[in-house]
Amino acid sequence: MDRREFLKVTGAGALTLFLSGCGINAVSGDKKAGAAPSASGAEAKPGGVSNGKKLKIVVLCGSPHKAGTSALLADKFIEGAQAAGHEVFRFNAAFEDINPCRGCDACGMNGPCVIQDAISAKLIQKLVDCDMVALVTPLYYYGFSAQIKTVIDRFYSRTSAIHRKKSMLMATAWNSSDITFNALQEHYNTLVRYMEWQDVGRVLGYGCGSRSAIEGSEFPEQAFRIGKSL
Amino acid sequence: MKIVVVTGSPHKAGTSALLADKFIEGSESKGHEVFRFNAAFEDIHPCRGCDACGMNGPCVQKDAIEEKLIQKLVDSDMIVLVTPLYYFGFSAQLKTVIDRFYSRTGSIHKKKSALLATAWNNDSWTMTALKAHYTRLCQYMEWQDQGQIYATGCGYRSAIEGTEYPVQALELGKKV
Repeated sequence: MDRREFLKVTGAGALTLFLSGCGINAVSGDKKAGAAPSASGAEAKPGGVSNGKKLKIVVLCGSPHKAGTSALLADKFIEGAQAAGHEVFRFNAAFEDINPCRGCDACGMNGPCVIQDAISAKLIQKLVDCDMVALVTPLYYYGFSAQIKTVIDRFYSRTSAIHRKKSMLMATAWNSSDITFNALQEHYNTLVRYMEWQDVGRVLGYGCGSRSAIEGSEFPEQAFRIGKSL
Repeated sequence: MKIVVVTGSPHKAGTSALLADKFIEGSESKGHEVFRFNAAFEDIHPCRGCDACGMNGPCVQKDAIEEKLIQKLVDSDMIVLVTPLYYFGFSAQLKTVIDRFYSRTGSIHKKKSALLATAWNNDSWTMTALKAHYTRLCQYMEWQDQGQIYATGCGYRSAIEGTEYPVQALELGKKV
């Protein structure tokens, strides 16, 4: 689908969101990817996600670029969310001491992780306590970056306690073909289903291989609007 | 053929490791040459996106991926990805390797490939996301897929040992 079609279906998704009155997004196939609520979806009902409550939001960033394209989406989303009074904790996975899950199961899916790194020390309790998780990633080989996937796999030690949050996805890619984000969206949709998350929106930055490319696009504003209108 | 098997599990004798063992047994019995890289037991680091490689040159990171694996991938005829399903995707360990394809991506195109995956869950949608991801990778890398094994309901070693999946992996190894 081209950009115009993409906007059209995300708009339709926003209507679905409004009519259904809930943001729970069923797992959708590639062709239904646009059924997800969009920036305009969140904007259609300001405060509809938080119901006026101050949200605790954890923003997980997976890019190794401090001032890259996905970092800009995170910046803008946070700017909007903070302007609306929400509390944000940002974790830049690529700049923290993090290690992958060893599958030892010492945590029993509900306890301390044996790995004493930044995920255990700084992040995991924030995830447990939060109302919303925002996943922010550059598209690396059509999936989450290894850095953010390392964090996601470590959800395991508190996986139930991280269920039933609100969530969103922001991603950027060099490519701009209609299939660019299909696999990532399929992955995110499945995560939402398994984690029983309430998807509140996604920003998919097609054709954003450089900072100047994304700065000239509508995506930063989309990220800001979602944050502002939670 | 020269075959590179990249495994992503932190379990040395786990479920996906068994599929790798069986695939290798089958392919070696047919005279193929196998190089196995167990990502979780090597010194590996994620791509920094510095682009010093220009997608066709040495990586600035001198770890096991650069020192032991990357040239094997370039020289191989076939790449086999082996992973436990972690949060519905490749394990972070294997994804770390995949992201590092970047430094030689053009040279890793047009190989044969296969995917061996195991999961605790056994829902109709358990492997949907991984399958979509692998399919997209094959398309982008212009890989010629030789087979995919999705061993659902295999949460532990005795569970997978009682299934047909190890034999499927053995047969896949023989026929490639």
